[in-house]
Amino acid sequence: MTATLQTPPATARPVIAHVGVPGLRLVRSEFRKITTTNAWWLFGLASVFFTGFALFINMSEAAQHLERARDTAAVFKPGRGMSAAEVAAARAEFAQLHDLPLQAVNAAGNIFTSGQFFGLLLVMLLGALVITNEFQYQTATATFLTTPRRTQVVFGKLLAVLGLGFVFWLVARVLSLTAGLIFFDNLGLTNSLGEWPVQRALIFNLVAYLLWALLGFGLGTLINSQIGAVVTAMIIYLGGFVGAIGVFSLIREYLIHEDWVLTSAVMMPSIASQVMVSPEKLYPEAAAWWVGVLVLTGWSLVAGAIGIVLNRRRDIA
Amino acid sequence: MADDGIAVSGLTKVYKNVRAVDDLSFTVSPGRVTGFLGPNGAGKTTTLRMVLNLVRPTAGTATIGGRRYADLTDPIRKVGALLEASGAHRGRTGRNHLRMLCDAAGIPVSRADDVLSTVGLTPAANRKFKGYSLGMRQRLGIAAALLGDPDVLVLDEPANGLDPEGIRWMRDLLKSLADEGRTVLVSSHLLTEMELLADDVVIIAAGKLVRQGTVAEILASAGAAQMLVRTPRPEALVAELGAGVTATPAEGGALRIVGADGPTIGAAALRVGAEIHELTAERRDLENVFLQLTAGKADIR
Repeated sequence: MTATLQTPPATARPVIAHVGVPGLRLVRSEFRKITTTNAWWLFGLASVFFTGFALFINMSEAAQHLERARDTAAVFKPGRGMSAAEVAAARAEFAQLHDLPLQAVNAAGNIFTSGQFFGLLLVMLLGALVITNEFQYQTATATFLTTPRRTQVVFGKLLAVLGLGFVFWLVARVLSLTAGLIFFDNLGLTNSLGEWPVQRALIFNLVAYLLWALLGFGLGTLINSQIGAVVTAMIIYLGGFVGAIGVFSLIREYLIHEDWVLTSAVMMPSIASQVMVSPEKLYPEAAAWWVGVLVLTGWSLVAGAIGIVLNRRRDIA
Repeated sequence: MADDGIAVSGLTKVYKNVRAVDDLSFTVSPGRVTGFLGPNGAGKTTTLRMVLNLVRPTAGTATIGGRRYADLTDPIRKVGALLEASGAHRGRTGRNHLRMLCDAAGIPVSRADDVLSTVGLTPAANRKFKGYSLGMRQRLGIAAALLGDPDVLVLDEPANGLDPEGIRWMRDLLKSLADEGRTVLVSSHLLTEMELLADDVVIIAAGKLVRQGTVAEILASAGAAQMLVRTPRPEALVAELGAGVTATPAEGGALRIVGADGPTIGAAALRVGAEIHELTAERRDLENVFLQLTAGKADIR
């Protein structure tokens, strides 16, 4: 072989240290994957924008409600021709609308969880992208060469997705708490942060962020096609609520005339989520909040588990 | 099998109606560059992907240093691979692409800069992947393969998209890696390049092994040398050469003669008084031998 003339002299092989905590290496890698593309700031910007927009709407609405509640001059006047029962209902509603502490708590719950609707959609889509990006950009080869045990890869991504859900929740909440505290301070009202209904709203807001991120991730694991996973996620989230209530009402009306039909609508993820975050019953037949948590977790687990089994057998070509 | 060799045994992959790889067995030795050759669609890429646990074999095994890829503790410190259709995110820089691989493998991120400089990509380190030319993408892939300073390299068509200088660089790099005692398995259909680069070759066609051996053995195995003769009196010359020599018409009215060397043919021509217009020894190169060995097996399946 004449090539030895051109070959540089053999150098000593480099000593490459082992770094990182074994269980967390993959999580770290996933975080770097997210933060080294445009996705994080595009999604972050969208999240900040929608939170701001929702804050504006919620605070305008709250300002009106609080002004009405503070109007001590208002007097209840029953409408003409009302029955005794109707008068009683109208009186109760009037009392609620003019109950300042109640209105303040409701306003706080809304303002402090502002941006939840789009925030949840965004973390779900991000959860789906974390896994479908690997197939979209053919990085699955490099990823699975580095970590041939594919289930480990999925769990690394899972932890990263939960972390992302938490970060998005935190940013939205820091914004809404700052704006909300200024709002209540200006009105000279309590911010109600000491009240359980408000604390509950914040906690379940976090749970919802985590569970929707998880659901998006489960979908991405199951449907590796990026466009397929994103469209499915959008349909489940946006179409789910109105569609599901409609379908279950029709079944109740025409097929099975039982109230449990309406209760079982909680099996749809979007309804489960609403059932979970609502302090009061979403509708009279609605299931308890914890059923919502179980349903959302259940869907994520089912989609994720099927996805993992498929991924273990899948040919990466 | 030595420590860092690759052993493929009975490897088979059946897709819906195609046996992409069919009971394939071969071995690859450390310290040598082994060329993995075959026509398009012969099953080279599928075989390499099965060796690397990316494609699940229908039957058979592939081991590296005696262990399946999936069972290696630190796979990218043992095996570096460059495969076709292995990309990077369009919006991620080359350096960040390597760093995220470092993270996952527990390798210090400073290694990313080391290998970028090895492949000459340092000036483009902070450029996004979508701005890379085909040759730069190939270099990034090689950088990724070198991250863990592996003992074994598996490269699928590494010369793709490289310019002549890049191909020369790649050849020197792979030879020096093999000289350091590493195992280098490289697939290609650039046969002239392989003849320069490879010590051993494995030739497959239609998913089956055709021939394995050193380049010299493969060239010798193709039979005796051939001579190309051009003369106005071919019949007289062939008659004089006698039995034991086969002559077949070649392009441009020439004769291709097997079984006689140049001096023999020259002497015979002189005896019968036949003019010789051309007498050439046909060079035995890998390309000719390859085409001969895989003739008729290169159909699109």
